[in-house]
Amino acid sequence: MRSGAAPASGGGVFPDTSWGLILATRDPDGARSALAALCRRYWTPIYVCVRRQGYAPTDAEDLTQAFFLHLIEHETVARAERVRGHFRSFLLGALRFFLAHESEREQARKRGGGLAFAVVDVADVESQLAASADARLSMDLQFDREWARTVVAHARTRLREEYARSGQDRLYDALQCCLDPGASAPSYVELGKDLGRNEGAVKVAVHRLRNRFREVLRREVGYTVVTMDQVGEELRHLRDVLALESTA
Amino acid sequence: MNASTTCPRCGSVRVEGACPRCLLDAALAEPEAEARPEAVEFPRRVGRHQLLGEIARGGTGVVYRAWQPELKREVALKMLLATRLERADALGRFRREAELMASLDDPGILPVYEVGEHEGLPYFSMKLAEGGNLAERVASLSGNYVQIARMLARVARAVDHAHRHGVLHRDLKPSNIVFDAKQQPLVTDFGLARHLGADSSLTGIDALIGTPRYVAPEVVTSPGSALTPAVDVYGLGAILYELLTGVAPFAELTPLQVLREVATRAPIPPRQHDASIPPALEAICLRCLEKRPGDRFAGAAEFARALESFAHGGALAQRLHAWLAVPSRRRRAALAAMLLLGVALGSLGTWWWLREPFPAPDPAVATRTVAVLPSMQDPSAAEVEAARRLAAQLRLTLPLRLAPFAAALATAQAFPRRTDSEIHAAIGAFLVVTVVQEDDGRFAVEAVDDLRGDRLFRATYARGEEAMVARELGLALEKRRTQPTAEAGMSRRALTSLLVGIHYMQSTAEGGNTKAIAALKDAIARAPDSALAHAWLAWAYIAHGGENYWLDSAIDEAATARRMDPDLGFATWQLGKAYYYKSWFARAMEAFEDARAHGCVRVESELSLLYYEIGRFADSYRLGRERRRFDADAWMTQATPAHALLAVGMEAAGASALRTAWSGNGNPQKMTLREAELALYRGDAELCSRLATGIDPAIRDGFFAASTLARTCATQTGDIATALATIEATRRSYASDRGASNGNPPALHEAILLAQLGRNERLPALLAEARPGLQAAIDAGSEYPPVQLRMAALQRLADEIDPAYATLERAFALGLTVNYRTRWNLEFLPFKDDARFAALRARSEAAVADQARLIREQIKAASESKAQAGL
Repeated sequence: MRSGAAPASGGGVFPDTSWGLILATRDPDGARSALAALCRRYWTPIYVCVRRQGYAPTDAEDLTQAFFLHLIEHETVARAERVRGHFRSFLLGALRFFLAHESEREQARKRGGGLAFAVVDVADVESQLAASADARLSMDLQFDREWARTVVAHARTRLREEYARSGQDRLYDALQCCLDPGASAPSYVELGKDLGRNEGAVKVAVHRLRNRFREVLRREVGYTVVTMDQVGEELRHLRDVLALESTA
Repeated sequence: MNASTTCPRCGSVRVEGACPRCLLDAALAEPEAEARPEAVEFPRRVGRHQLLGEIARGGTGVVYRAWQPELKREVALKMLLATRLERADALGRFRREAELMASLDDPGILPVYEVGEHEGLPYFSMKLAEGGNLAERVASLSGNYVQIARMLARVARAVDHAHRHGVLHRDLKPSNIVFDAKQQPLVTDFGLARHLGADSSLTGIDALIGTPRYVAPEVVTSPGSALTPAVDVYGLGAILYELLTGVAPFAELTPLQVLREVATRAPIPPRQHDASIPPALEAICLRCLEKRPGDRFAGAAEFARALESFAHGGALAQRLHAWLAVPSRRRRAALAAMLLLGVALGSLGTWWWLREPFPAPDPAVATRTVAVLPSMQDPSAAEVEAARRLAAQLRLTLPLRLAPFAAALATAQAFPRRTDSEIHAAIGAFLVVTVVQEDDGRFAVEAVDDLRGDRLFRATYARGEEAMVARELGLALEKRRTQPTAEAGMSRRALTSLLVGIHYMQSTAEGGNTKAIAALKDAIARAPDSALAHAWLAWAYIAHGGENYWLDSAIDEAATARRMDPDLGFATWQLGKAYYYKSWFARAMEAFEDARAHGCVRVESELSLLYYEIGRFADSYRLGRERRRFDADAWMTQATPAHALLAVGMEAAGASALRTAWSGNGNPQKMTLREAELALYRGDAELCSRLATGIDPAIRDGFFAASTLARTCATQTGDIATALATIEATRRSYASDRGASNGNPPALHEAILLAQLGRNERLPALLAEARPGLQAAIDAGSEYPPVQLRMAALQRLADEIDPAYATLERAFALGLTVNYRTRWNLEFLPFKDDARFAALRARSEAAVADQARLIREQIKAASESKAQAGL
C-alpha cells in the first residue's frame, strides 16, 4: 500500500445530486430526474413500510413502484416545497398520502410491468423483514428505522466498492468487523497474521477504515438532507430510532 | 431471536452481520484519540518540507504546518486527500487551485511558494497564516466600523486583483480570509475558483451545498450559467454583513429557506440588528447583496473604494444616497424591502431614539440629510435649479447637527411623475422638502413630516436668498428633533412595528394594508400610549375598506389618538377622513379644519374635496390649487380644483385641468371613460356615446361607462330605450361590489327610465329593491348629496310628492353640486316637468354663479402676479 494513501473512491459511486439541490433547482425536469435517482436509492424502506401495512409481497412491490412513479410524475418539488424538510420526511409524507388513496392504488396496479423501478432483490428484503419484529410500532417509526438500516447498508456497500476498486476488497472484508463496536473482532495481531501485516499497520488501516466509513456515511446522509450541516442531526435521529428497537 | 441476528452490545437487530445502530454510534463518536496516530498518519516529509502537524482538513485536502529547511521558514502545505485522488474533478480542482493561486501576485492573496507532487499526491506550499481566520474574529471586530471597512477594503482589493487576472474566487466567506503575523488579511482557499466565463456547473453545486448564506442568488437560480465578478461582490457583501451584525445574511432562515429564497428575499437590513451601524456601511453592504448582479457595485474595486471612502470619512454617504435616490424601477422594488427599517430609521427613527445624548456623528454619514425635491408635479427647470441651490446651501449651513436626518437625499434630482410613496421608498425619508415656483416667480419651500402629516416649515423666497432660507429650515428641523414626543419613550421593538406599519401604509404592494394593520396593532400592544400609532392604525382601517365596520374602528382609533394628543393634527385628520367616508360631512369639516389648524397639511387635499362636495367651489379651488403642486401623489388633489371649475360651468378650463390630473394615472380604459364623462359634461352626446360604448362592460369601470352612456342617452339625446338597455345590462354586476350605503343606483335608474317610457308595471318591485339601502344610508346620517337625491327621486316615483321635495331641498342644502348634477343625472328626470323643481334649481343657480365669480377673481389675481413677475 502506498504511503499515505487510503482506498480511493470511484467517480460513479455517488449520485451527482442531493436533496438540497433538488429543492434548490428551478428546473422541474432536472428536479424530476434527480428525484428519480434519489428515490431509487431508497426503495427498500418504502417497500418494507408498504409490506408492514399488510400487503402481500407482490402487491407491495407493485405499490412501491407505483408510488415512486406517481411521486416523480406528480408530486416532485412542488410538494417538497411544502414539506421543507429531509428527504426522509418528504418520502414518508408522500407515501402516507399515497396509501390513503384507493384509486391511486388501483391505477398503480394497472401500471406495473414495463417501467421497472425496483433495483432491490425483494427476496433479500423479505428475509430482513422476517428478522425484525417491530410490527407493533407506528408507521413513522417503522419507516425511519428501515431508513436508518438502509442508510447504513448503503454506506457499507459504498465503502466495500471503494476498497474493491483499489483491489483491497480482501482488506475490507477482513477489517469490516472492526467497524461495529458490538462485534467480536479478532485482535490486530491476529488480523495482521491473516493479512501479512504488523500490528501497527493493521491499527492504521482500521483507523482509516473507520474514518472512511464515517465520511461515506455522512456523505450518504448528506444526499437526503438539505444542507451538510444537518447531517449530524439526521445521523443522531437515525441512531435514536434504532435504539427504540431494543426497548420496544 | 437467535444470537447471530441480535447485537450483543445493544440488542438491536443486526443486518448482514453488523449492527446498524452501533455503526451509527461509532460514526457519531468523535474519532478516538488513540486511533488518530498523526505521526503515522501523515507523511513526515513532503518534498523538501518537514511536516509538523495538521492545521485544517477540508473537503478536498489537508493543510499541514511544515518546515522548509533551506529557507528556514514555516509554511502551510496543502495536500489533496488521498481518498480524493481518483476523483478526476477533485484532482483537477486541486491542481487548478494551486495554479490559480500561484498565478496571482497580490499582497492580499495568500502567496503560493511551491507546487509539487509527493508519491502521486499533489500539494502546494503557501505562506503560513499565523493570525487565524476572519471567522474567529467576527466578535472581536464588532463595532469597530472603521477597522472593518479598512480590513475588508484590503480584501476587496485582493479580490479585484484576482478578477483582473480573470479569476473568480466564488467561495468568499470569513473562514477563507486569513491573517498573517502582521495581522494583514489574506484571501485564501481558491478551491472553487474559476477562470471568468468558465462553465461553473460542477463547482457551483459544491458552493451551493457548502455555504448557502454566502452564495449569490444567481448561483442558485441559474447554476451552470457563466458567472461574473458580481458573485464575489456578493460574497464580500455577505462578509461585511456578518462583520456588521455578527451573523451571516439570512441567519434567521433555515438553510433550505436560504436556498429557496435568496433570490427573492431581502436580507434584514443590518441596522435592524443594531441601530448603531453607520447607515453608509449598511448601504454599502446592502448594495453588494442586491439580487441582480447589475445592481451591485460594478466590481470589487468599487466596493473597496466605497469602504475606503467610508474609512476616510469621505463624501460617500452622499454618493450612496444619490444612488439610493434615483433607482431604476426594479431597484426600487428591492428598496421597498430595504426601506423597512434600514434606511427609514436612519432618518426619522433616530429623531426619536437617539434623543438620548446625541451620538458622536460618524464623519462619513454626518453629511446631509435633508431631502430637497423640486415640485414633484412636472418640475420646471427653474424648480429643479432652485431645489439644487437650496440643497447646496443646506450642506453648508447645516453641518453635523442634522446627522439624524441622514439617509435622505441632498440633491435636487427631478422626480417627474413619481408618487410620494415611490419617493419615500427611494430616499427612505419621512421628511419631504419640496420647492415649487410660485406664480410671482419666487419659490416656495415646504418641509413636511410625513409621519405626522404636518408642516415643519414653509417659506417663500427669491433667488439668492437660499442661505437664509436654509438656515431657517435647519432651525425648524432642529426644533422638531428636540421636541418631546410620546414616541421618544417607545421601545425599539414598538418603534420598529410602528415604522414597519407606516412603511406598509406607504407602499402600494398588494396585501400591504393588512400587514400594516398587524404591525400597527403590535406597536400599540407594545406602546399603548403612542397617539401616532393609534392614528396610523385609524388610517390603515380607513384604507382597508369603506364598510362601516372599518370606519367605526377607524373612528375609535382616531378618537383615542386625539384624546391622547389633542395637538396631533394627524389624528384629527384621520378622524375627519373616517367621518367623510361615512358621509358625515359636518363632523368631517370640523375635524379637517381642526387638523389644519394644528399644522396638518396633508389634510388640505381632503378638505378641498369636502369643500367641493358641499358646494364651496371657490374654497375648494383655492385650497386644492395651492395644495396640488406639493401633493403630486394624490390625483384627487389634482382633480378637485378641476371639478370645481366644471361645477361652476367653466367647462373648457375644467376639462383641461382634469386631463392634466388624470394624465398621471389611469389605464386607457379609464381615460376613455373619463373623456366620455367630459363629453357628457359639455353636452357632446355623440362623442360620449361613442366613447362609452367602447368600454368593456366586464371591467369594474363598466358600470360607470354604462351609467355615463345611459345618462347621455336619457338626458341629452332622449334615447331612453338605449339608456334602459345599458342600465339593465350592468345592474347585476353592480350590486356585488358596491356597498348598499349609496342605495342601489341601477335598480333606481331602471325604475326612472321605465317610468319615462310609461312602463310602470315593475316600478314597485324596483323601488322596493332600492329603498332599503338608501333609507339605511340616510338613517346612518349620510350627508352625501347624491344619496338624498336618489331618495328624492325614489319618493317622487312612488308619488310621495311632499316627502320627495323635502328630501330634494335637503339635497340642495347639503351641497351645490346638486345643481351641477341636475344637468345630467338621471335622478332629475322624474322632476323635470315640475314647477317646484324649477324654482329650487333657479335658487341654487344664483349661488353657483357667486362661486364662479369668486373663482374667476382668483384666476385673475394669479395671472396678474405672474404677469408682474414677467413670466
